Amino acid sequence: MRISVVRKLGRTGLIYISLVIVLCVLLAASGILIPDTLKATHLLEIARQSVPLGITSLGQTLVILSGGIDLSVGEMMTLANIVGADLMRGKDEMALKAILVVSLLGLVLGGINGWVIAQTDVPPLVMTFGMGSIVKGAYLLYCGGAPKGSVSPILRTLGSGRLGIVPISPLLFLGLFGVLLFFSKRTTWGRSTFYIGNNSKAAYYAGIPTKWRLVLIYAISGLMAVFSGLILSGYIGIANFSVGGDAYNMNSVAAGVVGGNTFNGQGGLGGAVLGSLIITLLTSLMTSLGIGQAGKSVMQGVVITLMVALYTSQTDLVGKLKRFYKERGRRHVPQ
Amino acid sequence: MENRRCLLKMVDVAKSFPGVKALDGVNFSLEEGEIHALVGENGAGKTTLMNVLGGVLKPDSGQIFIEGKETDISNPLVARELGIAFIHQELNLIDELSVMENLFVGNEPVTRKKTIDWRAMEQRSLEILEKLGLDLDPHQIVRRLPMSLKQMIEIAKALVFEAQIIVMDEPTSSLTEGEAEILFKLIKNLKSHGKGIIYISHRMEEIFELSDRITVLRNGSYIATKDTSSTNHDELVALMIGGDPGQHFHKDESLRKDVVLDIRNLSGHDLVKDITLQVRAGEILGIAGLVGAGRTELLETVFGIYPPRKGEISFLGKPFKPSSPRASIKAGIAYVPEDRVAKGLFLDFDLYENIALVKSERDAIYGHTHLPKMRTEMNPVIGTMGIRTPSPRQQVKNLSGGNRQKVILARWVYAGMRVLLINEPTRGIDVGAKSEIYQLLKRLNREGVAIVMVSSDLSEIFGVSHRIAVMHEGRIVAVYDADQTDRQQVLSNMTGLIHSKV
Repeated sequence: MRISVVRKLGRTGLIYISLVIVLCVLLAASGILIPDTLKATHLLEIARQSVPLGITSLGQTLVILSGGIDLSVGEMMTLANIVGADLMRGKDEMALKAILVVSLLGLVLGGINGWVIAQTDVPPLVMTFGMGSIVKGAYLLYCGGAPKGSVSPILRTLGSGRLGIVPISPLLFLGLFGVLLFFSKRTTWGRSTFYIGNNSKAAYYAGIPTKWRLVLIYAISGLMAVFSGLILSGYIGIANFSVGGDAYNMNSVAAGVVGGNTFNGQGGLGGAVLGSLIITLLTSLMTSLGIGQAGKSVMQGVVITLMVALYTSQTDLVGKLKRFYKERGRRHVPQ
Repeated sequence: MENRRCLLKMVDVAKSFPGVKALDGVNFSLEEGEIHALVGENGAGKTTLMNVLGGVLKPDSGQIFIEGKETDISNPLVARELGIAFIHQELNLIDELSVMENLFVGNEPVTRKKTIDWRAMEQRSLEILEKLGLDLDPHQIVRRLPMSLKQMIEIAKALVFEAQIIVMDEPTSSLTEGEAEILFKLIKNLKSHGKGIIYISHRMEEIFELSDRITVLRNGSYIATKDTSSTNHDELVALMIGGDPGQHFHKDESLRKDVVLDIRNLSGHDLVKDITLQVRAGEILGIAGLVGAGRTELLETVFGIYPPRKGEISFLGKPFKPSSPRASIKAGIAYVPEDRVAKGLFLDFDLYENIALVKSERDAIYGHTHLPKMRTEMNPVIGTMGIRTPSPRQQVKNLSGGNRQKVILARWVYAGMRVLLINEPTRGIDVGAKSEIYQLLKRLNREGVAIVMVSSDLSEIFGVSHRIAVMHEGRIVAVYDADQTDRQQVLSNMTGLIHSKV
């Protein structure tokens, strides 16, 4: 029994291939516009830059797949920096404790997001936005308005060190990605994310404890956000309010959505990785071309809306992609 | 009756859907100041006929005369302009708005500047409410009103655009007896104002209390129109069920074994009152009852959706408390809901995922699951279920109703179960798939599964079940062996007539 390649790929495969093509086009464009960008060192630098966004969007993508959105991730990242740096004060012996405390904060605050969303009718957008605001107030109070402390050498190495020419943080990212990929594919806890997003009532009727699964999903998103904040802190080295923030809320949603994830459970974590690479590359390309924050902001808005429009079922993007790949040969035949 | 104006006349109306003749030569007429009841079993064509009148469906042939003029009701707006109003079972009120805002929603009176004319709205609301004899403040917010008043506001909406013909579809299904009485008064009041009322109901009592004439439909055909004064309950039921003996399946009595599910004095949801039932391995217990009798609520209480408040359930000889669907599934109880899309399926996922999830959720150790391995196990299940699909990787949304139902059943067959609660197993499913589903139920019986089946289709109830329990207003009013009873007896119990006779 032979199945055509296009059909065997399915929705996810088709989207991934398309995203890889987009990534290649962007790379080619930057190679043409800006000299030296296609060198290995520069490509690895792009990979390193994309790590904080990548980690955040792994958690964000799980939330999106479950039908929600997490707008507290940006502030959770800052929280990780402020609290983490303060606890470490540049000392390695305090690093483990700091990382544990910060991780616990991420899990608990994220879990509260999930619990309130599951237990009440508060929409995820409102709940997580409110949580972001609370977290921001909390870390401002914590540090009394002036962030103190710095990151320990070990965490610095994780955030900005290299093995040979290979930066370390992308390797950590790949590890986290592997773990979450296993979670999303091989555990019922992870699988239920997709089912809850697609039809949460049917999920409940099929014996899935939907409330606890939502708590878990948002807790993971919180945990990923603080991990991402720690890695970014390791790169920056000191306590600083500029770690994280609003930009990561938008960009992590954008990365997930660009990666083909819908709010009704269709997609996968691989898309989030490709999505964050594309967003990072696009941002760095625009920086190199001298396009300012205003232009980037417009780009984000356009990309997100366009992608959501494309991936919703009515437009049947997958059908179009199928036809596109099938008929590619025919299109080049001169008429 | 002689000099009354004829508001509506439908002659020889026919309508077919692919594979079904929904209406075949149906005649219906309605006079000024008349209440004309439309009766028939589920699937008799009442709704289709009313959809034709409402402009929702276009008839294949036949004529419709409104006040003597032949009319083509091409869409619902035309129907509305012709003065035809529909009052549905479900209310269409906006809870947060006031009575008068609800009355005029989408139809607000405007001033010359095109702003809403609140004074005129209040004035006209008062007029309408007074006409109906309703002592209601037009500014009252609808939310806190009792169901009966909400129902009447729904009727008052019909008067806003001066409807002459008012169709009421089971208007009392969500009302208590006292509330229904108030509604009847209002309906009689409308009648005295010369409105024509088409009254659809399953409750015989109401029909005899209210109507002037009764038209009976059966399987899409016009059977008879009787003057209410010259007919009686038994004749009507006979006309409704006709000589139809129902489909009969070979029921194997030898399969019936020990009691698996023993429910005693179970109460919980408002529509689950003091239920006592026993279900044996290898039997099908059919539950008959009207919409709103509490059948779904009973099944869903046992499945763990609604919390039980009183009573005991013993399952496989052990006390069992249905605290959540998860707990019920772990115990071995399966539920196939009536609304397959809302409560059952993940339309954007393929057959494998839809079938695998119950088993993987139930049996996972530390949450570990392996879908690729399960796929090979599922292939034979999909095969024996006879699910017609180009590939098991197909999204379920591309399947027909019958195949979708088989996917849900396959989920439970794959997971295994001791009791199957199945709600409207063949609603919206074509004839071929129907008999396959009956075969499957029989197979499960043979494997020792106890089945509780809720159905609104009496032929199905009689055709498949070993025993029949009848529910009425949240209670089990009778339990029969299927061969010791007949449709008339069951139907009388369903409609509550037997109790009112006592």
